[in-house]
Amino acid sequence: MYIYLYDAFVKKGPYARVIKSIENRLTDLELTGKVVKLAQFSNPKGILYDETRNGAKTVIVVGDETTFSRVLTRCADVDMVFGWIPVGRNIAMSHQLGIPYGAEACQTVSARRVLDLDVLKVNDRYAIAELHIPMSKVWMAMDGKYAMGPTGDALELAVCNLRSLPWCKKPRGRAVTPADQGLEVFVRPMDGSKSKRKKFWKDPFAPLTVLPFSRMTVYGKKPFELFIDGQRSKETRVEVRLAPDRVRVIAGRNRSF
Amino acid sequence: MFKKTKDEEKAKEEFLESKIDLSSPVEETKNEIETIVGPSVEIEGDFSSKGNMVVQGIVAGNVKTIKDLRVEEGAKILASVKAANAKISGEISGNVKIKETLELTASAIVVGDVEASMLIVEGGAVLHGKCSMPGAHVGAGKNAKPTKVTARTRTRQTTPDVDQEIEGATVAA
Repeated sequence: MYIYLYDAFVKKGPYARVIKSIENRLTDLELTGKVVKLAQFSNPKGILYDETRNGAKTVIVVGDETTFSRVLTRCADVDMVFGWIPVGRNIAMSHQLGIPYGAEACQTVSARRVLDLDVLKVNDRYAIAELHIPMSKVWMAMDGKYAMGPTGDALELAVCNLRSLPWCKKPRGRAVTPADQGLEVFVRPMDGSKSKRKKFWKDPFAPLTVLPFSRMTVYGKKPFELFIDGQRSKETRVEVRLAPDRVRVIAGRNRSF
Repeated sequence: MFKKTKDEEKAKEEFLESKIDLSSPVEETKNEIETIVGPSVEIEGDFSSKGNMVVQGIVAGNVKTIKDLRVEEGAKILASVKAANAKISGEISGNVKIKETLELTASAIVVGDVEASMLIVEGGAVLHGKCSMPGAHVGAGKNAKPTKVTARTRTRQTTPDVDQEIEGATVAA
């Protein structure tokens, strides 16, 4: 049995037509199920727990990237298969998963290519897309073996899972693989060289540092800003590791990993 | 009504455009280096990796990898190094143990004992330490027993190729 979680914005405005075509397509493919509308403050975990008791095994999120990551991060420990029909503006993560836009995604749901994907655990919260710490004075302790810090003033770091590096729109440089059961941190420090010949057009950032890890603690003397799947918070100490549970997600044939 | 359809089309266009950008670079970079220590970064502690490694910054601790290591110019490693293959252009203060090939470029400075199956030294490289080659056959003939060859023993029974390799390098045993 399928459960369709609709984000509040998709039923109104410019997306009403897309939703209509999605519903028609799902009827054609005989993938009908129960539709639940997600309000802004509703807890998807409670909804899914209720539905698993009624025999639901697959949940399809209809909405943008924020909706999808919100459902996945809250329900990472719920034993269900998660699918996504991207609707809306913010859908970059669908490229990584190889899921086409709108009604065409129904075919991907129907093909049901299920993959086990890694989930990040940042303190007590789950993250599916990325963790991003903008330029701040922080140090890192990796796997309890070594510590790392900038030689200059500050650094910016990102742990990417389903999204590419936040400071470059195109994922040039490295492939992000969310199914390898490994984590990598990408660090971009400020250029610490005190060269007098430094010109104003020079890139202020030093080349990228890439380190694999299984457990990382980021700490700073002052509270630093961080974004977990786009949601902002402030901490003085963050522990990042791979969550013990992996999520089962329906991916497309053209996925990037 | 018209506005709605326009928004819808715009979203679809954005999706298609970004899809074109994303497809190729990922394919290109699948077999890339796994660990990079950038130039403005300092590491303290034992640093180990299962993949290829590039060091451009400062590492104060042991460096160990089961694959290849590249220490670039300006980089510093202040402890022992273990790897399968290594190309050194920076500074190492510690023992270096390489399973296969160790290459010291002109800017390399190694202060410590070196152990490698094959050693390539470019003119200008500095090596202060004992150099040994485990598994190397000393003397002519197939029945010769494998012994540990130090830098001193090797220079005594030099072959033209070895002479060419060591020429210009400062080797102090």
